[in-house]
Amino acid sequence: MGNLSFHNLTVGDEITSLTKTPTNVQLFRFSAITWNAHRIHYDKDFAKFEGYPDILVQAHLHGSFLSEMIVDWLEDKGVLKEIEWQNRKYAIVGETLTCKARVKEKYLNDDQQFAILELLEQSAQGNSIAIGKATVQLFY
Amino acid sequence: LNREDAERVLFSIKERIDQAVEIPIGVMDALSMRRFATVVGDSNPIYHDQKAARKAGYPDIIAHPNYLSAVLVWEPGPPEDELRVDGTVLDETVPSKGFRRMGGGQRLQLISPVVPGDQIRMERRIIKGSLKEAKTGILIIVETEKKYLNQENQVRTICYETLLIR
Repeated sequence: MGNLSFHNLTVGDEITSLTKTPTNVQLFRFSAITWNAHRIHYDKDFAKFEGYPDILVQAHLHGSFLSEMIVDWLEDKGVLKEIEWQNRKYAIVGETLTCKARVKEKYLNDDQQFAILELLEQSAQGNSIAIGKATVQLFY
Repeated sequence: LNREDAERVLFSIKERIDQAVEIPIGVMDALSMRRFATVVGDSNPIYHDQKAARKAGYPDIIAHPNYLSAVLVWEPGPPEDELRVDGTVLDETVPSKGFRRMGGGQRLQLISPVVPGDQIRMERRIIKGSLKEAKTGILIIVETEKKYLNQENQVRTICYETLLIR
């Protein structure tokens, strides 16, 4: 995409993707630091009792991955202003998840430059795990 | 959830619309902020290294954008024997006892970055409640707002969450 700037950005551009494979340890530590005792995230027997094949990735960890992708892409050339996401399908521990985004729109507001990104987090099988939208402000 | 139950629950939800509940969260510390970014696997130096954060124009390291809203319970929380069977906290901010609750998505407005020393409080309120006839039965859709402010009343993050009750 070259140097990131409002001028250089084109609707339809894809930003640099981010791939993550959450582990047991990561899910346990995320539950711990977010004080989330929901057993489906660390107790495999309980997750199976609830009908899942293994422990589930937390909704807020999906959102955190999406934010990481955007902030990494922006570097010091912009800032993440708003992000929303919805989980469409559960993801289990050990699944490889790829976060992607595409420029949907760009606009000026009070001489400040903004772009709207469409977000997608996909499993290795191509399932949509989470979808969303983000607004970024571009400095250049 | 039958229609009679749904209307009863929705009535009690609507009674609470715009009633703000304030929760003191406390002082943000650099260790917890760094730990959150570490757990996510996000090595961006603005979350870890004070020099790098200052070079990027921040007064200190900043919290990962999802940190405040990802923490589900900022209070100490109940003892283990008072948790639900699934480990979750019985939260009746949105009255729904006996029914199944599911997350329906979230939207974060990142107004200003959290820095160590911020004394954060959260204002939580229900902003909307409605019924929907879905293929699988009646759903109650509740929208809530969590606003996180510091000691100078600067808004750091606003989190809008949708909760589905069935």
